[in-house]
Amino acid sequence: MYDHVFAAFLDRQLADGTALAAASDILELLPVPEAFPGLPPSRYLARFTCRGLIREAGGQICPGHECQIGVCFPGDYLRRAVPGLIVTWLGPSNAFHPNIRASAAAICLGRLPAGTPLVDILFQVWELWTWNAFNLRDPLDAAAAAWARVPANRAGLPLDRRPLKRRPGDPAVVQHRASSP
Amino acid sequence: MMGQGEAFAARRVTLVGAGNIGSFAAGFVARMSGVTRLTLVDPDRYSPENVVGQDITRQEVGLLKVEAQVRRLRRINPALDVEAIPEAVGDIALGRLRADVMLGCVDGRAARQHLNEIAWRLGVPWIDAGVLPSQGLVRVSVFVPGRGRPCLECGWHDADYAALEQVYACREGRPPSSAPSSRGTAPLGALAASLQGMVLGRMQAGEAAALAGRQVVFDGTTCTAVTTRLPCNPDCRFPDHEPWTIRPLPARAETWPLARLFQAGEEDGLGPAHAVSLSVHGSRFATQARCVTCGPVRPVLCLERAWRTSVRACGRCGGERFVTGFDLTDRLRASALVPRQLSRSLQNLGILPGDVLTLTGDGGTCHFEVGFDAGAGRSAAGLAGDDAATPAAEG
Repeated sequence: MYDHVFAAFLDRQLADGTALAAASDILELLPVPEAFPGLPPSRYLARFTCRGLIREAGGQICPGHECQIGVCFPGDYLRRAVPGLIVTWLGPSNAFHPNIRASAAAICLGRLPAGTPLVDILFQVWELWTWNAFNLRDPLDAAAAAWARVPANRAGLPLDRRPLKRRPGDPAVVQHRASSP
Repeated sequence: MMGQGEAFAARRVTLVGAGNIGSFAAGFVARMSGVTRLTLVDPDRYSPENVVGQDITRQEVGLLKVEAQVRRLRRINPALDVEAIPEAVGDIALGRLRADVMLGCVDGRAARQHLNEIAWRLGVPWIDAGVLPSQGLVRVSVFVPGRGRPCLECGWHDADYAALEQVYACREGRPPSSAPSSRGTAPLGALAASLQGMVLGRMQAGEAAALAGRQVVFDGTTCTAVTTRLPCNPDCRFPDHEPWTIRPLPARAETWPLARLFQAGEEDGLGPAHAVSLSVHGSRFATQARCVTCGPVRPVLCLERAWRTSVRACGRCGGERFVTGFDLTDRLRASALVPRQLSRSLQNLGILPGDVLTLTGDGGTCHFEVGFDAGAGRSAAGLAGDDAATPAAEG
């Protein structure tokens, strides 16, 4: 059975995700080819080249300069969503953040309603990794949550102030719009 | 499709939820003439606070809800064949829930959504009951699968989908995001169960088709009732609104290799076997697994639920391996599998009795139900401990 509504949703995610990546200095988005010819991709690899935190083997907290996630939209995504199965943390394996447990490939974005667009997910992950956002209730990494509760540590947050999407008017954005149909 | 006035024999009933409504409804169903088999589904145990709002005694606190109800139903009607399934409805193989009618006595949207999908795919009418204690309301809705008929999700809006209960990675092992318990009072639960039983009686009297899409809301504070007819929503997110034609798989799961199944699809007119794909209702296939400790990704092939029920050790470092959402796929396409994978038995992949297998090809779609066998295990846990946990489960 071919679900045209879901296929249209996937088409839209590809278009919007590609447009966001084109308008970003930070994001690289790679659709994973489908085993089924002719179907739009339902899985993406996203790499963010921006600053977050990692924990070295010795326990030191250091800047990390990129992270990678996988996003997968199952066939019933427009009707139900299991957040832990939609977004997978792929690296770095020593990420340091209250809402990321790299050893379990887990990142907790909180509520993720069915049908949440790819672009929204990408923004939420970028916010987390750069410490523009974090949730200290129910942390996945208790040590990172404890670190974030120290006022002195919070003074330097967020770690990266560059926007995920370049502001309108920037040359690259104008160029992208001009080439869009 | 059921015609107007056509007799409807509800001999087999599946009742999901044995709490505020279901604990009363189970007794009503056991007393109905013509009902010979009742399947009870609920994963929970009775807690002390349930004594106030549910049809149980203090002696039943701590028991599995289905276990306590089975004991009670056997006293009410010893001739009734009762099966207890202490699992969440979304985790149960579709065929195990097959009945002539399903009664939904559940809290929360997610369980209702699963029930709606199950009923529709099996082509089984279902009667949904719910209560809203804060306003003294009882609601009973009737859904009869068929083209052009409304389903539960036809009446849902974005806000309903946004309010679906979710389990977050940071809250694993704890209740879903929205506390699902309605904390209904005993009179409300009994009233909802009574209405549900009366609707079932009307369906048995031949009014099933006329009741399709009907909803009655009873206001207990004013003792007034409003009956409405739910419309079929052309933009409903539940795709196609078609009951499935499900045939028995002409073999046992342990004897058929995957390649034979794809061949059956070709024989069924779906097109060449290599272009046929397989999906299993209610579960997805794990295609790779990761090691927590040393990190490499290795190919595997089994149903995700079979993987979930066992711990797999990394062959390199001995660390635990796990499957992420990114390692799962809805469908397996024959041409994407290697001969070693195609030679694996269906049972070896984690396919259980009662599972409904969907084959899709250029020529269409067909559905097979895996049959029950006296010697076959019925739970994913039992299977994962044997076949699926062996190295053969690796890709």
